[in-house]
Amino acid sequence: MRKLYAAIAIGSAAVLALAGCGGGDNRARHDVDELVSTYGYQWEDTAAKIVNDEGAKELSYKVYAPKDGMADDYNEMKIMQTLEEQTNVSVVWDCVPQSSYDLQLMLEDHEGYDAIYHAGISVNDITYQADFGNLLCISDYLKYMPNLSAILEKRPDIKRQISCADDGKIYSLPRIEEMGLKQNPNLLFLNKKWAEKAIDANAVTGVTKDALKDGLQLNADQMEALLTYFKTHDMTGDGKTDGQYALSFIAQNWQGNQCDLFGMFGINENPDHRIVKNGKVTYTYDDEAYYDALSYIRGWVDKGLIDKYCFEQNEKQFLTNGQQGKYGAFYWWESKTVVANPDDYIVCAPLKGPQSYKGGKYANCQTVCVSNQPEIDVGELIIFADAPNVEVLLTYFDRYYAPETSAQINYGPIGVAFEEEKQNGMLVPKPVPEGKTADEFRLKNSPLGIIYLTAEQWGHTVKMEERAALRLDRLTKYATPYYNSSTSTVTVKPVPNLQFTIEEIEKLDQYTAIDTQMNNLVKFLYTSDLNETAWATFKSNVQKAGVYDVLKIYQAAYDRVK
Amino acid sequence: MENNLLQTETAVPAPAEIAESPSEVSSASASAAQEETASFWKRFKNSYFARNFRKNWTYLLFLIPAVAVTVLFAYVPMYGILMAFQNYRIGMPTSKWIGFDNFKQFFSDPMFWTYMWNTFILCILGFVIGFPLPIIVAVMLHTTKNKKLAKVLQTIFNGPHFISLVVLVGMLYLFFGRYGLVNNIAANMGGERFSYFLAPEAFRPMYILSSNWQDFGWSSIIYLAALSGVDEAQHEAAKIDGASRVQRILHVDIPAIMPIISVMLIMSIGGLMGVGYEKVLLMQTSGNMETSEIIATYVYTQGLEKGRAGFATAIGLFNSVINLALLIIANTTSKRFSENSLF
Repeated sequence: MRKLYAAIAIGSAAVLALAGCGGGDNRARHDVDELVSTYGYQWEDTAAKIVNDEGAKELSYKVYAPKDGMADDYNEMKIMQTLEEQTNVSVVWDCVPQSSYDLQLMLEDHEGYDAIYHAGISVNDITYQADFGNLLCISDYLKYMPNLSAILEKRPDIKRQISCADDGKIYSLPRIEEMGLKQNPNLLFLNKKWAEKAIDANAVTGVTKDALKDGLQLNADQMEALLTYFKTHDMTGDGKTDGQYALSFIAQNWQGNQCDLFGMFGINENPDHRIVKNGKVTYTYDDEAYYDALSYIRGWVDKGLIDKYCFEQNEKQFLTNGQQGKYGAFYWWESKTVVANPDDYIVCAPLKGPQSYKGGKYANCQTVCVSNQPEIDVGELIIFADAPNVEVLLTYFDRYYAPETSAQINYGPIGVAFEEEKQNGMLVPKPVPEGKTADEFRLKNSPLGIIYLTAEQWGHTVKMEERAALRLDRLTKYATPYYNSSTSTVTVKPVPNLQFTIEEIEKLDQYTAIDTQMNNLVKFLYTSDLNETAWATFKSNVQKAGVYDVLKIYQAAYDRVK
Repeated sequence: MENNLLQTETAVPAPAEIAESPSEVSSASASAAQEETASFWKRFKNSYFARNFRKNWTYLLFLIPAVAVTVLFAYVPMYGILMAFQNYRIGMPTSKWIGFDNFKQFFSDPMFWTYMWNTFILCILGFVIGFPLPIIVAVMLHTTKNKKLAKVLQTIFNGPHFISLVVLVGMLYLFFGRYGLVNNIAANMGGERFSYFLAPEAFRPMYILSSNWQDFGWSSIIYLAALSGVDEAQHEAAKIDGASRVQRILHVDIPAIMPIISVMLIMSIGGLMGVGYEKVLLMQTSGNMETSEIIATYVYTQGLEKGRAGFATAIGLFNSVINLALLIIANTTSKRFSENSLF
């Protein structure tokens, strides 16, 4: 009998012990006055320490941080240690691999953590979590964040984009990296060697060999002639025409996608099929030219000029084929990672429309994809409502928005990623050590995350990375000038970060058929039957799915941030 | 079976009580209440249940882990279905009862019938092909005269079962991708390349055949086990009567494993609509969406990507209810016509 009781006692003790592990947060909570008097808390001087040595000992924060696989542990990162020295705020980083990060689980139970860095939380999720009272209302504490307040004062557009639609308050810290690289995500690269062969064979009219340099202007007919030559001749020299790609891209990818092709018809397409025209949020399909564009591009797919593989492949497969020199032309962000011999590829201006198609209606059309990829990531960092002494933590995170710190957070610390010596007051990137790629080096040494780097910093505080500068240069020459369609007077803008009220989110959730219908727009390019009736059916289906109601909600949200 | 499990559970503390009762009885005074208890214990001790329990308690003890696992992982989590009737979202402190609103919303969803149909057709086709296949394989392996060959074949057939889903789908891409093996062969023979993964009509065959290929060997094990229990004497008697091999299969083997077949049939009908989302999601492309979007993937996108836990639970619950209904129908039908049934 005794044994049985003993067993029960031990069993229950074990259960209690397990339960005891849950524990509570036993860190003391202080109000601001106490923080100031006890720990010397100050927030006004952005160069001085935030708390005194006692504060460094007694106040501590635990931040959950999903990090890139290549990155060092944040606790050991030089920039983080420097920040701790400069501020006296001790933050314990709990780094987890990005792949095992589950935002929903963290929202359900964040026991022991004060904040999530790299939260990657969607705007809608922020709205809900704020409503549930799980997130700290950061706008109530802006007083303690001099850098951010200054930014928001200077940039009311940013403030509008990160403010919750329901109560106008801010519940997350954003990442702002405005390099101007994202808005036109595609560039058209053409294989010079292959094009020369085509010109030698008189396959294309109106293009000379001398013209084959960056900025080449081609119209759809010339491009078609080139692509047809690439398709039907053995360009790779392996004795086959199979397995070489006249024109390649990844459909619906965030960059290097099919959207620039619609520019031949004066349509600013993007993977969301949604843009702002003259201040009105519209769907791109709702354009007279769209059907013609679809049919024309479908023609290229049917002829094999655009391999159907473009709709199936992933980035890895795309890059592998590129490295093997199988592309005649391709759309991508840049050319260096795609092909082994970037010098053989020239950047073309956006394609002009076909000269005689539909009576030459589109002969002068020439524009580019306008992407909705925002340069402001709203949900980069969230702080939980039950975190203690948040003023100190917020002042600490506010330091991240100082230009030089931002640069180091984004690229790596001074002495490692940047030269110790400044040039004209600017941080200058150090050359990448041998045996490492630029990306590896950067990811290892920088946490990335909440930063503020905009046009005014490039050229004042930080010198732009070489690759970024090259891309920006190309964009200013070959994409930005074609931003607004040459043939229309409509002003086009991307759809920025939109904030919806809970009521609006719930309404949008009802229109589930819209996405399925919009998916058809891509399918028309390679599989679905495309003819006048199919197009009419599609349009009426979209209408039935409630496209105008959805647009109304989008418009209301857009009017709030514009 | 379920009854047995529950009995063991309630009866677990009994040994202690039984052991203690004699001393209680002897030291008891003549009070009426105690007498009643005593007589209750006496009756209990002599009851069929208690006698049975005393005889078998060691065996029942072995059931405890199984019962514990079932209760912990199948019954306890069931409280979660409450979410189906609430407006619950992840992170919500208090959720409101909204009755059947989640269900109403799903039923009025314009895509409802598409998802239902896609799920149904995917499962029913998989079942029609996948159910008889292991039986045929088992019978064939069993009747093979060369036992060594049968063993080798069985090992080969079992192999694919151990391939993980992600790897399997990776293999599918290698074989059926636009620049995969099948297309390379076709192209070299002068044929056209075909994007199997972009074609909605190719999704179901690929999904079903690969699933069946993966599992037919494994599922045949249970039938092989049943077949090995078939009385050899019956075979010999049939042989003497001049039955051919096919006749022996039809009239000796199949009837002998019929009970197992009907149990398996009932169980697979019960799980008919319960197709998982993992493999479908891995094979899903924007091209085959119209056939590959099923209830399970919809639950995944709504519940995990959009955080609408309540709505997703409602859909999941609805799916489970259909499964339960199918199970009961199958069981009753089977009971009526063949006397074989699960419960």
